[in-house]
Amino acid sequence: MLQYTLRKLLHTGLVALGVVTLVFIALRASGDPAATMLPGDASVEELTALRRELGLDRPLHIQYARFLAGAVTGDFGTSFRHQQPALPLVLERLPATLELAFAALALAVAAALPLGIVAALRRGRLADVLAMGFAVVGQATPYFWMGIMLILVVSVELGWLPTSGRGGWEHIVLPAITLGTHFAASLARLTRTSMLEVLGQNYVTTARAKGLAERRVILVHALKNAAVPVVTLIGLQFGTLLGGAVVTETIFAWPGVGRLAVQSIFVRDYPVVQAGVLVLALTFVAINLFVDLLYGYLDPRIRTEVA
Amino acid sequence: MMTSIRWVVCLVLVAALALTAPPAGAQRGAQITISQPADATTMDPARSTQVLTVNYFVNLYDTLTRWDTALKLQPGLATAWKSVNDTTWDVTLRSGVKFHDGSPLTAEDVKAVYERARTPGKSVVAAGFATIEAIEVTGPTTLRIVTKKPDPLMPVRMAQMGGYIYPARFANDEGAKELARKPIGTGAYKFVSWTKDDQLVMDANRDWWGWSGKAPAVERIVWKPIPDDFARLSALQRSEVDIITNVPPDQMKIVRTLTVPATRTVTFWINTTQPPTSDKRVRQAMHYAMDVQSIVKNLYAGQGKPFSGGLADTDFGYNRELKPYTYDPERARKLLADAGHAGGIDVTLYAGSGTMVNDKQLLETIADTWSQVGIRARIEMMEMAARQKMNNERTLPPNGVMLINPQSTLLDADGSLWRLFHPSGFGGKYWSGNQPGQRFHDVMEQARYTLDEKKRKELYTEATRIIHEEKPWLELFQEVVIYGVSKRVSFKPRADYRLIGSEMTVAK
Amino acid sequence: MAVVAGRAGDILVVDVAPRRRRVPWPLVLPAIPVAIAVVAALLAPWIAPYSPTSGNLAARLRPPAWADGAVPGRLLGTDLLGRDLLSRLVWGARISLLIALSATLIGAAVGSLIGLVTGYYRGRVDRVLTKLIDIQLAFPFVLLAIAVIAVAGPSIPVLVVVLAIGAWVGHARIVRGLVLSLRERDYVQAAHALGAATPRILFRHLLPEILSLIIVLATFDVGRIIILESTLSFLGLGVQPPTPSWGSDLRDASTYVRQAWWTATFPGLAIMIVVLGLNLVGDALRDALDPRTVKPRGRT
Repeated sequence: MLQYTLRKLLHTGLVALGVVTLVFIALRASGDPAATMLPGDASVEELTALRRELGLDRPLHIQYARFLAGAVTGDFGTSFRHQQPALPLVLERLPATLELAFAALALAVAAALPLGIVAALRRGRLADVLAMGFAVVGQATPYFWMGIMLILVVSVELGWLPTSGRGGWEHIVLPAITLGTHFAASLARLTRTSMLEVLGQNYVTTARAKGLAERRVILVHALKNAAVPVVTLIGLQFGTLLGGAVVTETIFAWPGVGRLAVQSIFVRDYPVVQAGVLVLALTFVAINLFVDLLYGYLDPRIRTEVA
Repeated sequence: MMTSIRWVVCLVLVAALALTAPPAGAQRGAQITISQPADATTMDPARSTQVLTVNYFVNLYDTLTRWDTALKLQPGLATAWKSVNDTTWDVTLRSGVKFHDGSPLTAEDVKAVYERARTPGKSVVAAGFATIEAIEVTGPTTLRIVTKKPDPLMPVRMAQMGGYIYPARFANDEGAKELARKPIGTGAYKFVSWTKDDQLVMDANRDWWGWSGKAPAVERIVWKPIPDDFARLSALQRSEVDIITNVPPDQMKIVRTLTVPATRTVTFWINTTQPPTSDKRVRQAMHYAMDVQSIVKNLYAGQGKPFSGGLADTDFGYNRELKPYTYDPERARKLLADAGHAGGIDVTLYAGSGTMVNDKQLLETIADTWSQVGIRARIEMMEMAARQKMNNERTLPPNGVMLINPQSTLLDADGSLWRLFHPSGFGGKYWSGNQPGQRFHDVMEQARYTLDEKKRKELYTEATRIIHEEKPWLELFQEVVIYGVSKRVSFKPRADYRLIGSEMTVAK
Repeated sequence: MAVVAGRAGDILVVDVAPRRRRVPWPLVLPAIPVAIAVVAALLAPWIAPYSPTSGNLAARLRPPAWADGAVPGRLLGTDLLGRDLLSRLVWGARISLLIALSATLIGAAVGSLIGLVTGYYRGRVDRVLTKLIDIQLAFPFVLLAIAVIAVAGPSIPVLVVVLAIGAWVGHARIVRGLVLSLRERDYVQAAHALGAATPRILFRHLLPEILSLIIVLATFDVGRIIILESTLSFLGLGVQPPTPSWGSDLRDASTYVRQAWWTATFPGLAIMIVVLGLNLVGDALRDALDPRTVKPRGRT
């Protein structure tokens, strides 16, 4: 178990390095932060002076080396726009995004698992069709469309919930639904499929044959084994969730990392983008690691596999 | 072992409990909430020229002189300014003014701020202070500004953005970082708290010199940025906010609005260095082939004032004799044929996404009407940073037409027209150096150093006429600023896009 | 076929071969809207009643033909520049489907090939490529898209490449997983032992097995990419004006949803129905091709 974990950590480090380097190159290949900060009629002298001030006049490999040296100690430089250290800027936004993601996942799981199970049990009947109907429709709706519809119907027309911003529980409901719907849809379908698979397996029929109550059979045995693919999905879909978070945060004026990262890319605020991408990547990898470990716990067979 | 479903239910409950935070401060009597499309990035006045960031500055800080709601220059932190000779100005500061932290305002603070503002690299507003040669402190509340050449606009420069005064100890790199987070000024409102992208709170500064004995009508301003147009409008409809900016003109019927013709114009750069656009007849044809009235009526709900001659009516030098070109496709075709392009021409329209409301649709409409007289326009919407790069590096391709939305910083032809057409600006690069162009340069350069107002007006009149005739850039209309306002708030909308809390009133 | 005896009188029959139906409705029904969209896309230049890019500003935001205030001839109404919505929808089908199909094809081809190769060969190549896949997956795709489009400009070919980049990873991972398990199968081992060249093994023996999987994945991908395109449009990085695409039209219309519901509803419905259809087709294909899914015949 320990070796497995260590190997995964090394893997993580390499991945982080790769991501960071990719971002570094991509950013500098386009756009000019100095140009986005100065008014349109700025003179060449002003541009040069600002570039020097921001440290952009050094050769690329020197910039890279300084960046890496700083990154290892947690210093990602100062944001061009905000004039604050980049990493704390990103980190102080992380809780908002995690809160949103967590709420979305919780809502999605709470909605999708029962839907999937019911659909599997009542396969081919109305409940199945309806449940899967919701799921497919949910997957076919673009994030921003759902957000806008929710604001229009629930907030403006019905007046039940506030339109945007972060605050008490009533502020998180609409964004969480918007963000969580795609995931809930995938999860419902996956749950149904894996439940169906599992229901036909030998040990289920064995359990039935042993005379155990139907309910116990399903809930305890089938669900436990269906958990593995479900956990995988959470790991796989986290990246998509992040993509959806960017849109959701923008529509609902949610002060998260996604919104900051996108804004910063558009104005080429290198330190913030670099810090933001790394933080997001590490979070993603951490989630995956957690998922893998959970995997190992749930299914002992996997632990001994070569990674 | 608990079943998964029970786990899930527990998780959801825990999450719900954890997320229930106490509501953000109950609404106090005289509090207003303002919503713009984005949050300010920094509270350091030397580091941003964005209108929406400046809106924060204008409440937290003061400048030496300021524009009132009628856009007349009034004393601010300076009570008197006198031109001692052609290149020297003596300025007297208001006495007894204190910063929000209690320290007194002195001439040293002003000197430190201006020195920093005019250093390229340290500030982004250096261009506006480029005429200053030296600043001398001549007393605790007096200073002397020496300009390189005669500068008739010095008093106006003292009012521009970038001229916001903060304590001298922040006028260095380390201090600026602190100021960027926790602003300290002399303004009508004091900084209270800031959660980035969420909200910024400012409270009325009872000791402000500008209240003139009256109690502040608005006691607290809360700034809540909402990026999405629809969400912002919806927030106003539900009275979650009191004032919103950037209202799409089509949506004006849904909410209560306040409007005023503003200091911004809708214009496009044309790179005229090569044929066919190097011929002024082609450029004139481009104007005759556009139905600006229809664009304003249909895309901007009538909120726009077609113009010609390069200036908005808010600027000194505005020439009301110059009438905008009419929509005349026949004449356009004829001009093109005269210029030898009866078969039509090819140009490219560029714009940065988000430059202004309906920018994409504006380009599409122009391209559409142009195609009817043979001007074939390809549209390229660019990402803002890429467009800025093209802008600043002056790499607009020949026969490229790029949307700009220039603001007039000094409410004077110098601050708008000349700033843009100056040889070190774009005009120098894009306007082929033929005779009228050269004459324009000479006239504007002369006006820049002419202290006699009447003479300046004459020079500007000639300059605007040249623009009207030559059309070195594409001129459409003067923007109208539209604010969405809730019923409880009242104020006179300003043409310079500033939202000034001390000018607003709240119904109880 | 296996028969498992349970309690007396309670026998469950497990089917391992797919059941044959006369008309596979789960497949055909959802395929109809998709087919309509494809046909519309192909025939757009001939069936669109008006030009999608030329509009009459005076007739903007007019409702569909059955409501009052409508402009005759504009069946589904006009958009905010006075352009005919139906024509834009039909041409939009062309662009949206073109982008989605190209991106899927490229992504599926590249991804499956890589998955095939790494799954079979294992070793160094596998490890390096897997790391690459992980790196890309760790990179929030939206940010990657913005970065690439910012560098290369938002043209249709760039968009296709970016979306293909988003698609290939999923294929690679899943195909690799399948190949990993398949390579241990008897017939593969046998072929190898008999001296068959590796490419032959890959293509003759493994590919047919995984082809059905690839097709199912690709079907879901097309839908996913149509949605992704609309998300990119939301950020201003999608298809550029005046080219119509469902995603960017939906985005532009979103702010008018209260006063001109048709401008947003029709592109929105188009996206939803086509993506829905694709997902259901994918489901049906997967159910039909996957021998492991239980289809209980009932109790005998």
